[in-house]
Amino acid sequence: MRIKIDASSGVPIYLQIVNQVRTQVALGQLKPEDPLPSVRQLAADLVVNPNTIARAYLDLEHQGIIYKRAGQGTYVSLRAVEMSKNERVRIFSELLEKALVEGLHLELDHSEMESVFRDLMTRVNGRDENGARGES
Amino acid sequence: MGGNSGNSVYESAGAALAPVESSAGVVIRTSNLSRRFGRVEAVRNVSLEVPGGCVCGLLGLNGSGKTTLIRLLLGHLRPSAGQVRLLGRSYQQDEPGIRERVGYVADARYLYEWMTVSETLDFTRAFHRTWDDAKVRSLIDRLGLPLDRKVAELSRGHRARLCLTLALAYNPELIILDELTAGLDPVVRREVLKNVIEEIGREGRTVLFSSHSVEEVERLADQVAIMHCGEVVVHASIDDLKQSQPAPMTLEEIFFKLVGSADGGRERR
Repeated sequence: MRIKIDASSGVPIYLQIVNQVRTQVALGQLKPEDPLPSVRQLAADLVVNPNTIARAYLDLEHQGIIYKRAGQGTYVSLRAVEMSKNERVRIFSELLEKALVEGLHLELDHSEMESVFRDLMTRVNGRDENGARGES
Repeated sequence: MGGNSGNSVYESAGAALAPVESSAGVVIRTSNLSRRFGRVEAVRNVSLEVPGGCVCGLLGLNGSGKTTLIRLLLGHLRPSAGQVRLLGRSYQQDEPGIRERVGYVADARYLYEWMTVSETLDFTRAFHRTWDDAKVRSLIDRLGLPLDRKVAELSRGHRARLCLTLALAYNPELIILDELTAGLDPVVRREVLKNVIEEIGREGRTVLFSSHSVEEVERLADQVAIMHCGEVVVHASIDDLKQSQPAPMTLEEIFFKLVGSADGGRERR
């Protein structure tokens, strides 16, 4: 698990950890039953107060992303994968929102942006199918 | 999710945010603490409460009163007015009791320059009933302290590491660190901070540390106390402080908003 803390950010550190674990689960970099480092270990690795790590883990546990096995450690939960569908939608919509805002700055109207979106979909889908055919 | 687990969510989240152990209570308490040097009031009317199990970072510009406040907390200076209570006791009541349970690193920490590192450790050991030999050995290993070197010949980095070892050696409940990492290179700084973090992870440790580095406070502390012109102008949980701002703000921005630019503040000295 690779986590990067930006201590000069307005986002609380515990929230940075929560968001990065969620993203890694959504992207499949963390899979169900993968172990997470212990609170102490991660605190030492990131040079961050262990209370902060504990709080992030607690948050993730309550979201159902990770679970604790008594006396053994912390693992990515099975439920994390189905939850990660929502997470993937969230990440995508964030990306799209940025693009839409840029589009408005470029003074494109809704229908112009929609047609760009449809064209791109067609092109990317075509590429996907070609790729799939090429592999099989 | 059931009502019970909902309840425990609240309790545990609260514990992580502001870890107050019911048994530990308030570990540092000052009331209307002031100290003047001639005409200058270096610490003014400070009433600070740090709960047990909490890590509190003390931020402030040069001359804002951090070091004076710490010297007052350590009993190295007498207050001009107000009181200090550590672990529920005052220095007048029980100075030896406080000394046994408080570890510190401060610029003014007295070391005998002619002693070697290992002589210094043996010498200090004699004053502490709770001295932990195994812990000292592991700190020496990890920090790479040169046991045979004379204190006078130590580099700044080794000196800081020796002071930290002395401060942690007897497992004090309260640890007070004044500018622990000032002047250290990034590698030594990281190593020193890692050891502090390990110490924080132990049960029931309370830490107060001063620093110039906003980043260090952000990484290590649960709470921040910001000093300006001798006064504590803010004392709050860092996460609460960040989230209470109208727009997302970094701790550094909040700090500068409070204390102004370096030349905007009143000159203290």
